Amino acid sequence: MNKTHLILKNELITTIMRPSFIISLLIFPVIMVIVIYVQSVTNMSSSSPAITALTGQTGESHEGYVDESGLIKTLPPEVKDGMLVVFSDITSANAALSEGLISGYYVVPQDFIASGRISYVRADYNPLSGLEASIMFRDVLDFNLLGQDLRLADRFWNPIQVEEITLEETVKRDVTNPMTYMIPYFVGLVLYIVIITSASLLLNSITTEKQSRVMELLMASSSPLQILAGKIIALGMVGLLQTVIWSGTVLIVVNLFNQQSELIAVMQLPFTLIFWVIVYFLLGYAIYAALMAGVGALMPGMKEASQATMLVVMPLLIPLVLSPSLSMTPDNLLSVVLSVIPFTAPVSMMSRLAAGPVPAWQLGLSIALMVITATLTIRAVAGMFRAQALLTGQSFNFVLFFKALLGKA
Amino acid sequence: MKKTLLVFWQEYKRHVIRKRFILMVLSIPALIAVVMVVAILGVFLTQDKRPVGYVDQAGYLAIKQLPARVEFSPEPELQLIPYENEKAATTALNEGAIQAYYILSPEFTETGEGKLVYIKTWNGNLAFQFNRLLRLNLTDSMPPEIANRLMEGEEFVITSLDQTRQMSEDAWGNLIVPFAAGLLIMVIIMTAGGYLLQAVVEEKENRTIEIIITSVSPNQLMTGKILGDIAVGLTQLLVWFGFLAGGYFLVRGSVEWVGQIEISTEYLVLLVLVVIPTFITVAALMAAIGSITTELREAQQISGYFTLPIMAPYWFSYLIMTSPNGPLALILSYFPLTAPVTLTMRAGFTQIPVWQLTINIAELVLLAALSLWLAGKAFRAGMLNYGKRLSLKEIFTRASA
Repeated sequence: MNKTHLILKNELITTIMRPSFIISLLIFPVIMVIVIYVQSVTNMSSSSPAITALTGQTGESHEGYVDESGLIKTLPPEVKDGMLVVFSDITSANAALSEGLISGYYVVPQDFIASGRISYVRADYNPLSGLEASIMFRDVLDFNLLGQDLRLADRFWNPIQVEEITLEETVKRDVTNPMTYMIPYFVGLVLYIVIITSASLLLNSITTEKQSRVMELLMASSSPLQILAGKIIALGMVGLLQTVIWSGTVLIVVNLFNQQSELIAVMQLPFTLIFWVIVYFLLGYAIYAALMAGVGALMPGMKEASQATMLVVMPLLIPLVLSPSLSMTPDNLLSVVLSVIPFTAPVSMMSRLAAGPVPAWQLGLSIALMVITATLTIRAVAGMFRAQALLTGQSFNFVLFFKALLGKA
Repeated sequence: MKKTLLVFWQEYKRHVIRKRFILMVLSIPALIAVVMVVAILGVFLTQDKRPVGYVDQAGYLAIKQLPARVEFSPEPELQLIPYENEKAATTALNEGAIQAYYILSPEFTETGEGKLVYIKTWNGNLAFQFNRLLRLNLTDSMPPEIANRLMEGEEFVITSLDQTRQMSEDAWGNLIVPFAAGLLIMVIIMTAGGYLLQAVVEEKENRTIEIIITSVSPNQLMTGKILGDIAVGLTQLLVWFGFLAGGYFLVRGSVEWVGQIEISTEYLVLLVLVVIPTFITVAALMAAIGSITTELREAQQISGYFTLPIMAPYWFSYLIMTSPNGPLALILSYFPLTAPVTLTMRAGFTQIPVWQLTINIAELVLLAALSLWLAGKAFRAGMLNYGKRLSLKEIFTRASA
């Protein structure tokens, strides 16, 4: 026990004291705050001072149109004076565009009703902003196609005013707000990053010591199991520190934005979330760290190791890819299955928890399954972590890895 | 020259002609394909494809069904089922025969009010389809060509001022190109840089370098290695590009938005002009880091700081794409390390003035030359230096001494 403690202490100090660790610990929250801030401000209004400074756009638009078809007779009342100027021909519109009086103009061709094609000339040629800006002109066209009848046009734009009635009360999700899926994605991402980084720190530490033969010296005075235990616990503690700091920042930032504006009001993150983050980190880490340690024990060097880890971490990556589906429909079969399978559970369950409440039996089942899996993998890997495997320069292959996991090698 | 070639070939060979490299190069496209299939399947399988009911209390709907769709769409076509009264619809909903139902209020013709009743959730496509049915009824009495135009909507073709570039809004697949190109470049730059770092540090760690420089000059060694690793990166780029092109030609006929993707020659030329100097810069910087540090772990940490600015434009991708000529986009293109990704993104969304491009690319070339020079100095000062990291000051004093 004393030796485990020594290894633990040494591993902890060397990892935490590295400048790169401290920097990444601080940089991630900073990046997250910036991205969430920029996202939410752009969402709120494109004309806030901070965003205007970055984009150089004031949010006011002046555009023109040339109507060759004679379709447009009046503009709908929503188009304010000066927003849309009529030009008699393309030459004069071009001149106004070159002088910067307008940012773009539309040409309605003679055969518009038959072809439906509108040419939209923009000074900056930006297809993305163009899609957004052209919404107004679409309304102008619809309004005139409908004979300038405002009531009819309203009915065309909003065919039905719907009162939604649900027979079973659930959490309402605002589909239009990107934060609805951004936040669960961030929570899932945090868990993915901490599990992977701390597990690969373990792999890194085992392979480097193996390569530089420090391992052989260490084994002269302590047993392989003591080394493994010391390393797993130390790096787990490091990961836990990262988890608490990172997810704490997410919680604080999101709740701060909540108080300031209505922006993320749809997404109330409960502070109990941090408890679940810790639980799922510990269990996920136990499983993946054990697997990585197994890879490290059988691998001759770092280069070979990084190749194998790709395959080991794959299951954890799947829920991250499916994150939109997890956060928008957290109750369907796919989400439930993903959050119960122990290898995908940490990321999937955290995304779901950030999106809304999860039934207790699913939480219980997933935790129970993860505890069982973690115990089994740790026991299997401990068997693999024998002196023989740590010494030889045997090259790695997956058949050997799985045989060793099953205790047959 | 002959020795440089030797070093070049050796460096290229030891990375490329290996099972591991081939596995790595092939596994990434395979991984992406698998992930895409899983994501598409996941979305497809979780969609609610049950029909939608409606109760028309106002007797408003003359047309009761949507015409069958001609074009293929990943969104399922939901069947619309009329019900006599609310009770029948509720029964069907509770039995699970339908996923939701609409009620048009008796005064619907005047007020346009109605209700949507569902159990827990409903497929987003439902509102879209039902609204379409209502619009179809609204425009039914109009002249057919006007009704048809209203239902079909307009097609906007965005054109640049000088008419040289055009893009139909239907061809939105084009918007993916700059995004994907930036990503591809970033990954390649970082992996190729990683190889070089490894190559230098490893040989230093096991002292092979001491033997090599007995017969090769440091300059020859460095040039050979840098060129070799750039060739490795380009090989990787070509293979992945080949996969992309293959995928493109495979699905071009069947998936509409893929078929509309067009890549202009100007864009490709710009990519090459941006990628080559950036490649050299990153490779040279990695070599410099590799020669002043003593351990692979330490070297990887320092190189991590360079990857942050290269990635940074992605965090602001939305702002760069919507205002590609705004101050933020300009600043990021003038700063050489953020320029490659920013420029590839901007070029897809606007016409960058030629004078700006000239300055930006000139900066990249200048930086490349500067880093090569620095790498040479650092290599000479640090290659036989063990146990201690060199400081910037030492690189210059020692090299001149």
